[in-house]
Amino acid sequence: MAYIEKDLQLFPNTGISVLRFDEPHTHGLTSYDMKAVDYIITYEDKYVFLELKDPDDPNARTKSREKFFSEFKSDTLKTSLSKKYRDSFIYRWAQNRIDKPIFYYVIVCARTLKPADYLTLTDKLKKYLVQKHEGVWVRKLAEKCLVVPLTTWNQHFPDCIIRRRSLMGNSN
Amino acid sequence: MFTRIMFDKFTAFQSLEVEFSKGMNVFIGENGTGKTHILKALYASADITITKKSFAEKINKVFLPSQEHIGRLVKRGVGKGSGALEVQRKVNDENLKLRLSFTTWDKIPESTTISGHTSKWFEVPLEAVYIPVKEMLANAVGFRSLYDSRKISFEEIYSDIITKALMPIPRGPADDDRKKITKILQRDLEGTVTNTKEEFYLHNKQGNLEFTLLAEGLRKLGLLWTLIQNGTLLSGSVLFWDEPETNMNPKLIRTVIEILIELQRMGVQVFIATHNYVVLKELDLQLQNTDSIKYHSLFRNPVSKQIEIASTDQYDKIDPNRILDIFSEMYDREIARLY
Repeated sequence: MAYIEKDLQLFPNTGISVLRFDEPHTHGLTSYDMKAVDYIITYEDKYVFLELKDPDDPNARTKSREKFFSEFKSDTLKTSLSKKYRDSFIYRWAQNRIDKPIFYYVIVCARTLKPADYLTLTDKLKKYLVQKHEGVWVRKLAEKCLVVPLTTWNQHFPDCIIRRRSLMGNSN
Repeated sequence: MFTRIMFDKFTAFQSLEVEFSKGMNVFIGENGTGKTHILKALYASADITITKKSFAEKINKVFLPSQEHIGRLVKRGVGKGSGALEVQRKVNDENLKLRLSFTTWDKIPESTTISGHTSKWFEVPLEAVYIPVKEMLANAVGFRSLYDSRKISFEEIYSDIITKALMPIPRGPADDDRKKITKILQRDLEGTVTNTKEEFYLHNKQGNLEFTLLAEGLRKLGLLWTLIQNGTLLSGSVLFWDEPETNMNPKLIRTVIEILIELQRMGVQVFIATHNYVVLKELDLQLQNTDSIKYHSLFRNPVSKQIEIASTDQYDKIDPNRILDIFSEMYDREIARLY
């Protein structure tokens, strides 16, 4: 099975379980305004909820500038990314599949962004996600929450690398 | 240890109340939201326990209103107004208060009203240090005598910091906490600090380098080293540092935060005001669960336009966080030009 997200493709090693989560046949409730992360990857010791945002997609610029900007601006990211995580968490809780820590990775592919941008996006996401509630909650909503470039994801998860299809010559 | 401060029509504040952490207190907020005024008011109330000056007199010297007319510190409005400032501290499990009340007609400190624990406040000295934005040790030679003999337009915090830095080292060996912190500073300074006839030097293998020739960021580290070495910053004392990031390369900010956290662990109550993301993030990265901190975010209510405050002990919960907001805006501008 090919895990393709527009111009990005996941290449999980054999044995790595990848679920394309925001598909009607997988999720089934997205029409009820229940949002979903793009992928859920199952490891022995954790789940990884993965969301991909790709402003560098060559086809992204076929939209109007306003649509492009509204999809990738920080306010949109802040609200949509936190909602996607929380709704996905609730869905999986209902499935009784919150039996391992969850790592939430958001990949933003924008070659001109610098480490400081990713760090501040991460801080912003953690704040709006409400990753933890010290002194009140006994568990974290997400064990880890990071906004990263593609290179960092590939360093952290060499068993599930992601490549840009247009650079591989597979742009169909 | 300071526990609370309250303002009523004092400078920029219509009404504000802040409760403090016993450890670190970090103030953020846009320019004009009163961060420095909170630090100065607290500092004044601590310094008088050493100098035995009147609270009103010290407030006047530290804020330096025009012609030293203390009434000008009342929040500006129409007609005669009155303002007040109350500071609370805990001394041996007892809560002490000191309140300064005055009107726009008060031209001199002596005409104001000071109430609360007006005697007890002075019984237990509270050593305090205020590090202003502008580093002063390079300008120390002759400054204090000039300040004492002439009316120059510098708030007293500038003269005070030189006085504190010039205090000689106490007798006896330094305790382990102080040794640990001075070692960290010596690592980044690559030397130690000496002074001769009010002139400060960085002493290293090359000899003595006068502070006027030293980078301002390193002078600030030198100042910290001096204050720790001479015992001014000890357990039970209070440190106020206005914008520690000024003239400081981000790489050095890591050391500064390391020192501030160690001071807090040693028992120094720390108050800083900052505009800098690196300062905030270094705190988030370096603090442990056992450390005490409160982040205080000052902001203007969009409707009333009055300054309000939101305090939290968690980095993730700082709200509003204009420093982070600015980075979001820059990210948005970057995304917009990607198109």
